[in-house]
This record gives sequence, C-alpha cells and structure tokens, in this order.
Amino acid sequence: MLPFYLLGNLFGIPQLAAYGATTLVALVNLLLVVLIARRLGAGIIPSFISGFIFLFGTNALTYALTLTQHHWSMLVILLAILTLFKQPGLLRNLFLGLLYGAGLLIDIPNAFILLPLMVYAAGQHLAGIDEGRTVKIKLKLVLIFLLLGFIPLLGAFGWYNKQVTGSATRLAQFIGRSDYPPKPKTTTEKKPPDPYAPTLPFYSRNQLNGLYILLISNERGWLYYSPIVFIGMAGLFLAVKRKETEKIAVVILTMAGLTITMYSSFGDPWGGWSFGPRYLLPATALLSTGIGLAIERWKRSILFGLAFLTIAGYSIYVAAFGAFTTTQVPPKQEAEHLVTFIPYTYAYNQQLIDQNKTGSLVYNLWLNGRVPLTTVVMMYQGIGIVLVSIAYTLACRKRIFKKNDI
Amino acid sequence: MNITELTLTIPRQPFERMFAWISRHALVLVLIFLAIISVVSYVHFYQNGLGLAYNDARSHLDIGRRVVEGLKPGLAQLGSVWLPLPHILMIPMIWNDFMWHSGLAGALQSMTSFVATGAVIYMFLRMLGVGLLGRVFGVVVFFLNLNVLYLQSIAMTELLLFFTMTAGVYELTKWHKTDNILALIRAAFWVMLSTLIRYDGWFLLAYCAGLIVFHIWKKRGYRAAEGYFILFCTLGSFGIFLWLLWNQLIFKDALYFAFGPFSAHAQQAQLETAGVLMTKKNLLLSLKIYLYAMVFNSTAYVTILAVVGAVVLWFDKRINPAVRLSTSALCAPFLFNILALYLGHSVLFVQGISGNTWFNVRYGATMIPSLAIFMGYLIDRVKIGRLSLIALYAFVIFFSVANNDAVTIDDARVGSSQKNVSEVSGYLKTHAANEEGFILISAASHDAIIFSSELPMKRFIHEGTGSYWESATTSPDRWARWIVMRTHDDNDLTYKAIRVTNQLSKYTMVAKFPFADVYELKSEYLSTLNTEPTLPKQK
Repeated sequence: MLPFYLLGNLFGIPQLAAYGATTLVALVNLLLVVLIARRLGAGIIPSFISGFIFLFGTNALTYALTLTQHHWSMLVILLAILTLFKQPGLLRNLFLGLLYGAGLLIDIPNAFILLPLMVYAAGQHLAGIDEGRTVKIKLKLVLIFLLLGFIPLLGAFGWYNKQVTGSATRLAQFIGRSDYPPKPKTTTEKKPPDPYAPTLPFYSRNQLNGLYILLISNERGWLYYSPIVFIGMAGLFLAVKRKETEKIAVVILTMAGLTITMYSSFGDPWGGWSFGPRYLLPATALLSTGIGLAIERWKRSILFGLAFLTIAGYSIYVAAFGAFTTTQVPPKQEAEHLVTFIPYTYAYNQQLIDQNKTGSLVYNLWLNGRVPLTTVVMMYQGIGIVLVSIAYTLACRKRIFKKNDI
Repeated sequence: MNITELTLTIPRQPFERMFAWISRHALVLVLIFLAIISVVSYVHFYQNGLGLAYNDARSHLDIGRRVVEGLKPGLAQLGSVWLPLPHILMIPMIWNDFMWHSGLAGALQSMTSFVATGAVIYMFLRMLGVGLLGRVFGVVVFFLNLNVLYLQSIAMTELLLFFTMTAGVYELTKWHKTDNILALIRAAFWVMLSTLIRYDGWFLLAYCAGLIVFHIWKKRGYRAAEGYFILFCTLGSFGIFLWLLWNQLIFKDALYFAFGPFSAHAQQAQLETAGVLMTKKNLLLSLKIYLYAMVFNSTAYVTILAVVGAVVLWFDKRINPAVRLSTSALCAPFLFNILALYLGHSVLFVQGISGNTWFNVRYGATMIPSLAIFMGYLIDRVKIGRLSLIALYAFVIFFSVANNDAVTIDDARVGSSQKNVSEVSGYLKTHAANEEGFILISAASHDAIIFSSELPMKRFIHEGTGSYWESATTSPDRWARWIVMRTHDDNDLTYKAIRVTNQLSKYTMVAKFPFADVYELKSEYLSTLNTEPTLPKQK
C-alpha cells in the first residue's frame, strides 16, 4: 500500500492511489479466479463469468473500493492455489513458502486458511511405492524450500511483533485494549479472573450463531448477500468428482470450509460494521472458482439457466448497493440500540442511495446534479446483469470455448 | 544415488502384521485407552473441585449413603424422586466415607459406563460395516468431548444412561440384521436397565417396541408381531413394573413417583406457577431449546456432520432397510427430550434463550453417542475429503478443549444446577462436628448441605427417618439440637412442620445464609435433649 501512497503523493492524489491499490488487486483477483476456473476445467467464457461474478456479484466489490486487508489476503490465497497446479519443485515451493509468510503478515487467520494447502503441497513430496515384499517410501528434499520461503517472512513477523509488543512471539491482538484518555480508576473491587473463560479467539459455542449470521441471516449471510457462491460450491463438488481436479478441489473446499468454521467460532462473525460477510471473503473467492464448472455441467438445463441468471442477477443487484455507498452497516443488536435506528441489512445502503448519498468519486465529480444516483445504480446493475446474461448465452452456444468435458 | 530425495525401503510383512494385530485387538485397545482417559479425567475434576459441583450429584450420593447408614437405613431410602438403578449400584461402595465424599462411589459407574459406551460405539460401527478409521473416529468424537469427560467424572446418571441405551439400540440393530432372538433378549435387557435410570429409557422402550412390531408385522404378519412384542416387553418393561410395584409398596401409590410431592411433575408445576416453564405447549421453543442444548454439548460442527452421516446411513442402499430403520432408535433421546419439554415434564434452560442461566443443559448430551456413531459412519463413507473433515474436526475440538468449552461445567459452576452451600455446611462442620445432638433438616431441600457438611448421615433427622422425623417435628426441642431450614418458606418441609409447634422460641438463630438458616437449641433445654438414637428399630 505504501508504494502506491507515495506514488500518488507525487501526483497529489495519495488517497486515490492508496485506495486504487486495493482496486487494482481486486482486478488481479478477478483474473486469478478466471485462471483457477480454467485450470479446474471450465471453458473460457464460464471462467470469465466466475471471475466477473466473484468481483461484481459479491461483497468483494464493496471491499475493492475501500482500504482493508481482504483483497490482499485473497490475492495471496488465490496465487497459492494457482501455484499449486504446478509440479512440485524448488521455485514453486519457495514461492508457496513466501506466499504463506506474506499471508501471515497480511492477516494472521491466513496462516490457518492456507494451512491445508501447505500440508497438501508438503504431502506431494512423499510417495510410497509398492514393491511386492517391500514398500519404498520416497521423500523429495525439495520440500525444504517450502520452509525456506516461509522463514524470512516469519522472521519479519517476529521482528514486527517485537517492535509492537516487546516479544517476537506475542501478537498485538492478545495484549488487550486500552482506553485513551485512560478511564478514571474506580474503587470497586475487581472480580477475580474466571479460570474457565475462553482465552483463544475461536470458541466452538459461538459456532451455531456464527453459521447463522454468516450463511443465512439478513444481517450478513451469504444467502442474503451473494447466494451465487452456493453455485460455486456445487461446481467445486463437481471438480471433486473429476480425477484430474479431485485433489485440488478438495484443498479449495477444505480452505473454504476452514474459513467458515473459523469465523463462525469467532466472537464477532459480523465483522463489526460491515457489508455482507466480510470475513468470508477468502471463501467467497475460493468458491467462486467453481461457478464456471457448474455452468459447464448444467448449461443445457433451462431450469439451471433460469436459476443461475436469477441468482447471479440478484447477487450483482445487491453487491452494487455496498459498492456505491458504504461498508458501515451495523449488526442488528447495535442497530436496535442506536438513538436513530438504521437498518442492519443492505436496506440501509438502499436508503443512502435514495437520499443520493454516495462515496463514488465518479458520481460526485461528474454526475451529481445531472443524473439521480438511483438511476446510475440501476443502470450499473442492469449492465452487470446483461453482461452476465450475454456471457451465459455465449457459454451455452459456443462449445469451442470449452476446455474439457466434465 | 539421488541426493535430491530420501528413500526408505521397509519390509511389508511386519507392518501388515502390526496392522492386522491392531485391527484384531482394536476393541481391547479402545477399552484400555478409554479407561486411562477416564481415570485421568476423574482425577482432574476431583482435584479442581468440580467433581461435586452439581447439586444433583451430591443428592445422588446421599441417597445411596442413606441405604447403608443413617437413623433408618434400608432399601426404602431409595425413595421415589429418582429411578433407583444408579443408587443401587452405589451401595457396594458408598459405605466407605472416602468413596461417599469424594463422589467416587457414584462416579465409578459413570466411568465404567464411559468406557463401555466407547466400546459399544466401536462395535455398533463395526456392525454397520464401517472400517477401522471410521470406528476409531466415532470413539474419538465421543471421548474428545469435554462434556462427556466431565459427566463421566461425577456421580450423575448420564453416562450409565448413555451406555444402557446405546447398548440396547446396538442389540436391537443386531437383531434386525441377524434375526438372532438372543440379540432381541439382550436388547430388552439393556433397555430394561435404562428404564431404571431415567425416563428417557421408558420412551426408548416404547420406540423399540414399535420398531419390533413394525419389522415383524411386515415380515411375518400380525400374530408373530404380537409374540415378539410380548417377548420384548416382558423383559424390557420388567423394570417399570418393579418401579410401580415399589412405589405401591413403599408409598401406597403406584404413581407416587409421577405425581407425588417430590416428583418432577410437582417441581415443574412450581416452575409453571413462577412462569419459567416456557417450553410447555410450545413445540417450536421446545425444539429450539433442545437443539441448542444438543449443539452446545457437542459443537455445531459435529452436529451438522452427524446429521449428514445419519442421512447417508438411512439412504445407504448397501444396508438392509430394516437395519437402517432400526438405527433411527439412536434418535429416541432427541424425540423424548423435545416431547418432555413440550408436555412440561422436563425443564431445560439455555443461557441466552431462557433467561441468563443454565439448568439441566446436560440433557443435550444424551445424543452424543448417537452423533458419534453417525460421524463415524460418515467418515467411513466419504472417501474423498475424509482427511479434510477430520482436520476440520481437529481444529474445532482443539479450540473447544483449549477454551474449556463445556456447557455442563458452566451449568455446574454458575448455572442453576449448582448450589454453593459451603457457608451453611461449613458452619455445621465447625460447630456440630464435635458436639452431641441431631440436626433436623429436610433432605428434599437441603441434601447438598447434608453432603457438604461431611457429618455422618446418622446425625441428621430428615423426612426419611420415620419416627425420628415425626418426633422431631412434633417436639423439636427433644430431638434436634440444630435446625437447618429456610425460614418462612413452606416449601421447606422442616419449616412447614415445626411452624405449627410454636417451639422455635426455644432456639436461637445462630447463622443466616442464602440457602438456609441455622437454629441452635437454647442451653436451658439441652438437659432434656435426646442425643442418641433411642427409638426402636424401624421397618
């Protein structure tokens, strides 16, 4: 981010350049989704639909226009998946190790999300050969480069921790919060600490509520914000059934499953004030890679076509609200306690659009006062839906674009 | 020589032999391993003081103790509040003070049942044709559950119930598979034992009887179905028959356990009056509360995958339809608990749904053995991605254990299932232990105080002491040096009885605590006080 900021500063647009970096990464992520979908066996057009829907049909779009770690995390995760398609070797392993370290430096949970991938990558170096009365076990020593790629960044992470917390092994997230200015000291006795209070961030008792919030609820749920990811999930299950893509599809699904499991156990699955399930963005990217495969498999089905276009259209329609307005949508329990109630769903974003309130630079510079925001948003949504519909129609007609039969 | 790789050549035979040996002895290894885990868990919870945190655990131990020691020992002390088998099983050990006060007399049956339930889960999965990994995984899901580990370490009835119910369903499924009549008789035996532990067993009996009738009627017609039904129910319902007979003989009412003053029905009626029996006649809330209790006991991950496993099992065409149907009996505890909540026969509080406390949340643990079986089955059938499912399970369980996530422990520590009576029992320990004289107290209200005081049972005059109770509540100054009761609370039988005697003026209130007050006889009346059990031996 810093180089973009400095570069922008040279031209007097530091904020735009810094924010633009995220947008640029988001576009790269779109391309990475396309490439992974291709590798999984989808044709060109379905793969592009995967990438397009990932960015424009989910809350990835909202977070492409603001300054968060999410798209950088997705960049590392998608790059790692793409790298996994390569044969194990020195450079590949070194790069995977680097990506793992970079993921850790961007956002600590990436260390968990990428773990199945790293375990699988490590396992690729181990082979058992049945030789009748004996079994030969081979271990390729190039495996060590997975570690060698990771260690320098782990060192950097330790150095960073040392600067922030005074210890290389102590994370900033675990030193607690402090108030500024400090709260006045009270005379009431402090309760002794509860020895049974959870000490780690992922608490399995939160899971049921977390799953509801992240998958189903109208506050943040996938079902409500970007149901298209479920079609991607179905597509990945199709990839599991194909021998060539079976293992990588399992790795992708495991990473997505781990993301869901992890954040559903987290105390704040809402992600504070946010738009859609922002913590699930890595899983959104991973599952989007399967959309193309689902199209390939079921494109001859009229029922699927109707369902797909409806769901994709709805997802694009919703994603636009966040992108044009704000990520700052409160969770229900906070919204209900506000002095002036604001909706805790994308209805809040719709309200802002109706009031002609937007953070869109293009609109505010050139269109404000000429075209109502509602019209612009509707036109944008319409274009998105039409583009997907055209691409889907082409995918149905042009068999020549298809890479492999499923 | 290739320096870019390490090669290790190992002979195949020793590994094959080792694997074959493990497969052959897996059940024994599971038993040994679970026995070790069981002992370690017991020691852990005993040392951290949670072993006796449940109010009910202390009452169970006192009931067992009263059978062998007290002013009126005997089998009649088994009472009618709870079904008798857990207390009967305590009798051989409860006479020993250490076994009583450490809770080990009650915990031993839980520990044994824990090991046995693990073995039944393993055998159940083996019967369903599940491979070694799935079988072992099922056992892992069962024992790596903090709620199970806690409940197996204390003197509660859950683990004994898990074992007998799971064993009953195992034998029933075996009978569906083999038509071996002995399996049916064994099923009836285990179900009969479960009917003597908790009323969940009664529902299981009815459910199993229904399955048997359906299976045989379909296969061999009505007459055979009638015969099998009678065969199964003769043994299966024998425990219920004995229980009704017991109630008739001891309390002169076969349904005393159901409608008597200490019955769950009476307690629930009080809760209903207080407006906290919200599940009664509310099916959706009953379902929601039990689902939450089940999920909190077993984690959402395990519950969801187990449901998938159950669906896979029930639609697996490789398994005989009758066998598949018989495994639905594994869900009997789920149905029973929802029904009991709906009918208002049971109460279960889940923090956040039914106020800000827990109560009886352990009922949700009843499904854990079944969930473990379904999980084991799923792991066996899902060939692709099996390791991923196991890894995700490991992730969830790691954080669950590291964060001490056990609702049953919370219920025992801060929920309504605990009762910290250390102040009042501490008072008795300090002031009454080295003095002569009886303590008048209601066991129905204050069993936890009796237990925690660590005084011999024969020092207490309670409702179960027959003529001592009658004498002491008529002339307390002749029999009770101390009275422990909740003043002005008619639910406390001691207060209710002596209120009318107007003799409380002969006592001084020496201590007042949240759960009870302590009265001591004034010194001028001590000369006429009986301090020895002089009444003739009672039947």
